[in-house]
Amino acid sequence: MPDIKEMLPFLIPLIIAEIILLTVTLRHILTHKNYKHGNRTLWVIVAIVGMEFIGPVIYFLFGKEDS
Amino acid sequence: MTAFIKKECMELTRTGKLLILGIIFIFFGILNPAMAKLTPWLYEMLSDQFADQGLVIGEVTVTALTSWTQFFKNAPMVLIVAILLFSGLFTNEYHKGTLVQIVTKGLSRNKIFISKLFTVYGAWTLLYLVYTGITLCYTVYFWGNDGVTNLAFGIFMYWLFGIFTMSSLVLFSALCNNSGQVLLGTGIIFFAFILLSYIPSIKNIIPSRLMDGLTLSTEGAVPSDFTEALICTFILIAFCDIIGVLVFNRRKL
Repeated sequence: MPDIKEMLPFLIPLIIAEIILLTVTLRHILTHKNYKHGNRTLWVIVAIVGMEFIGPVIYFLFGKEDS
Repeated sequence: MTAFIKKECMELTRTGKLLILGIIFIFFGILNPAMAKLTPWLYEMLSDQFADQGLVIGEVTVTALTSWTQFFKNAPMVLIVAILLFSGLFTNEYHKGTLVQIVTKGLSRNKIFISKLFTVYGAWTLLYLVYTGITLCYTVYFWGNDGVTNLAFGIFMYWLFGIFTMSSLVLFSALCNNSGQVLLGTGIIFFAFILLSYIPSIKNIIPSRLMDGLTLSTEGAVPSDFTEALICTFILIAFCDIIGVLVFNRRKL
């Protein structure tokens, strides 16, 4: 394993980006009642399990209702 | 028309699409040098397994080129994500019928089409710049930029390939009625060109050749090798846009 200190310049921005993405998605899911498909529990699980970035993308494509 | 472009940009930011895309592009931009940095460790981890099979791995050195290899490897990924999120650009409006009102108010269909086209081009350019910029900063900081030749040209070519894909996306948006069909059409174009690039006789003139920007550094290719592919791509972009306008002028909104 490479020195963790060496990886910090990568890790910190990655973690920040990830947290922002997850927060935006979760906020959107929790503040909306109706979705195109599925329900709230399903989307929360999808967003968290696929949190790398796939989950949020799937949600914004298939779950977000057009307002 | 500027008002309509402004409306498009506002739609992108308000629906959060630009934010999501921005974060994903930043994410991949950081991931490229991070993967390069991790490469020696990955090899080390796998070397035991390889040793059983009689393969011996020597010292692995990471250079700027490793990072740029990752850059070109991940570029199709970000392009696909961008296509996914832009697939509803026209079709959502067909669905809601909002374009009918604008047309009856007197904005010509040409202008609507061109505004949307420019918005997609603009968004792709901006996001791609972010993606490239981040990888460039990290790479130069860690390894300098030695051994990478004609990098700007390679990056430009990938950008142009993205513009071509976006053009076909807009063309299919004018042709089809829902975003699923748009995705299918664009996907078929995208993968058809990748498959066609396995045929040696035409591989040098089709747009997917523009994805080989890395060969400028690794295999001693020179920018003039790509002239035919560049010309072909420009023609195809013009073709997509013109057909798109013509179809959009006649379709039922």
